[in-house]
Amino acid sequence: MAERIIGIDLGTSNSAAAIIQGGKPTIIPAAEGQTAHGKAFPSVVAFPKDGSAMLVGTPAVNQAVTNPENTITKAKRKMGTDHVYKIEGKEYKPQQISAFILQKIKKDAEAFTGDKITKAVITVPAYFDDNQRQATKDAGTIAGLDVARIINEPTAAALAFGLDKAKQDMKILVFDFGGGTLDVTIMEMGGGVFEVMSTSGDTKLGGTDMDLAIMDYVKEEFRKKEGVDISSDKKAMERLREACEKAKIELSGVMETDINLPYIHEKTALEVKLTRAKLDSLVTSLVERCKPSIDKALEDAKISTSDITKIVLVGGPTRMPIVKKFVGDAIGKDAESGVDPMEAVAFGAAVQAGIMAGDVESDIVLLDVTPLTLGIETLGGVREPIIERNTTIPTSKDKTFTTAADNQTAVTINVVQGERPMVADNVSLGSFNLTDIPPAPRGVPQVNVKFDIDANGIINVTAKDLGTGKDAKITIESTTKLSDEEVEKLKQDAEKHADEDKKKKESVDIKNEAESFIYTTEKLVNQDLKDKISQEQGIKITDAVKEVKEVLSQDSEQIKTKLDALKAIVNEITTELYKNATPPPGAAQQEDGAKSEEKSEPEPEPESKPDEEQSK
Amino acid sequence: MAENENNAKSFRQEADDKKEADGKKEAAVSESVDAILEKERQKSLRLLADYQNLEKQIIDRVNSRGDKIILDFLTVYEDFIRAKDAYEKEGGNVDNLNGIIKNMESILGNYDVKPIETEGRKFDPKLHEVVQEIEDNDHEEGTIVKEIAKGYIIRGEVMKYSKVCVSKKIIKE
Repeated sequence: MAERIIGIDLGTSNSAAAIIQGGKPTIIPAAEGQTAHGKAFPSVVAFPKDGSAMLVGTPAVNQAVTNPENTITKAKRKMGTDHVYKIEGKEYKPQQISAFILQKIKKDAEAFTGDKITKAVITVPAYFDDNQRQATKDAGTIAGLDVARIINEPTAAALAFGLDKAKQDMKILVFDFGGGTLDVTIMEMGGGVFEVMSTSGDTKLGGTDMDLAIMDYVKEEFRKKEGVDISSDKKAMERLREACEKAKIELSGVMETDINLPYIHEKTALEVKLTRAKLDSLVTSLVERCKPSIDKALEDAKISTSDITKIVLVGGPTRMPIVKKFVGDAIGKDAESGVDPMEAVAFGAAVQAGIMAGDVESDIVLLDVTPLTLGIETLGGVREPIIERNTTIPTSKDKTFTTAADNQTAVTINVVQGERPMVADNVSLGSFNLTDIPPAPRGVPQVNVKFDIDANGIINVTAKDLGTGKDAKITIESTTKLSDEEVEKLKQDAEKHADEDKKKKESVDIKNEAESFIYTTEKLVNQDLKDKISQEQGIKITDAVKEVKEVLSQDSEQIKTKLDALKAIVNEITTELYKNATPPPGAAQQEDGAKSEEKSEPEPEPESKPDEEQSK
Repeated sequence: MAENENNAKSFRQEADDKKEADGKKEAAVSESVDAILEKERQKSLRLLADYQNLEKQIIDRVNSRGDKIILDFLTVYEDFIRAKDAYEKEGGNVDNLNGIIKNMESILGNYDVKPIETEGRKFDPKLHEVVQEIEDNDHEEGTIVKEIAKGYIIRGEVMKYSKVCVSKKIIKE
């Protein structure tokens, strides 16, 4: 029997897993039973002070008050960073902490199915960069799981609702409103590919805020009626919290409910009627705070509400009618229904796992896209893009570069990710050196740099000296990282600084072009045309070169003026030379050869174009 | 004569070619049938396994529905205890209330529901949730000194964690 693959929603606050049973996804229950988080369990890991066994999930939360320093929450936010958790003299990387959570899921899944589980599909936020994806994959490996595929959370949600089966191109808005965060993603589905068009969100907005608003209201009503403030009575507050949560859930199905807590304070009972209208008024301001995130996602995707074909809701608070209505009204159509929004991501991961294991039949070839542009650093700190963002993966692309200095025997390949034209404004994912390049004039060696991204978004970069065949490579390891906010900031910065960046890049480009032209001209005057030009012409060119050199540190306008002047002089002299030259017999036939010889000179290229040589 | 022989040869060749082609076709069909059979066999094995797993899980699923009703019932049971405590404090007759509470406990016992023991016990993260630490030198650190909310076990598993305050040694400056 083919091996089973489980789907895992490895969340920031809570995690859940699912598996295909009888052709349908089923949630794998946590071994410790149903908790306040439903079938999911908290993504919390703790190392008890008394040295007893490590705790994962609800037991870890239970002891957090007594052991906060050894209790780790929200490790997902540190994935892909070099952050280290120091616990009782031992060090743990974020992927090790995530691995403990995955190990628990593996154990629970094995208990649930009675089978050995070694493969998994794991979901990650759409904005996760390659480091964060790689770290997630590493966490799986540490936990003894072969990660068959990493997929985006909104893609998983869309799969859970069966949107992959619709035989039409669609634009899907995924509204993921969790306990503490909001993520809005717009995706395009067409030709078997889910493509992320934009993401936005609010990391400080969630369902917990709603529960607090309801509790405050009920507590205040009781104070007004009975003159008693129960805020400092822990027993009473705990009963109130439970009752308010229950009332909130009930009000998704009925129009009014009673909160009755007998003997909440001595012989006094708390009796408050809560209507859906009242509940709505209590949470309206919180729900409305979701609007900017929806607007931003639409704006970034450069589409209007009428372009959205489907709405997918994810997360507990989206069960509330007011939230459903709000999103529906904002877009102008009803959201998809039929799947519990709390379980949608894990379900979708299981569907993808089922497709891969052959348990589920689907026409779709689920492919993801690169979230940000990948490139390398070239002369002057300019980022040369190799794989543009939103490119469907797996893919591989290559470009050929050359050296920036004479007799340069090594090049450093700095792999960067981001949307800005200058390297300094992007994130470096890693770098490596290609050495032992035979000494040669600048522009002569040819170094081919190839990016290969697998279906999980893991990048392999190879640099090959085409002259000697020698190569060097790197698989991007999780050495640097971007937080969720930083990824979003990178994208926003790219737009905000577009003009300024363009100027900065132009300035570096013109400087590179000038330096390259000086090099070519000097070579021309001192070697190739040494005996063919007059002393006067030589001085004229040398003076013009000197003038360009003097303004190299000035602004780009000055460089451009002086460079244009130099070019004009060189052109004038070379034109004259050709005019005076007597063409040898058969010159016409040699024209092509002459051209190809000229081409071997390094050509300054202000703009990056594929397949053209760039100075490294 | 020679022409006839040639014709016969040609027919034989044709027949052989056809036989060979048919043989290849048959082999290809048989291969593809084998592949389909294997795929279907795997599918039926998987479905059988799913069914057997479902049989095992169905008990848990039915229990989980019943557990939700019991959890709701427990809040009423606790309210009765609160009522009894309040009347008892005032010196009222609580015999009837005690009788009701005993009946309720008997029902809970039939469903294998037991309260989690707390005060005086050592904190266990698999049974209790700490909501507060209380400075206290009279107890060993980590001892439960106050119960904030009752917890329960059903069929040997936690259905609701109890919420507790635990002791913490006072550190002298």
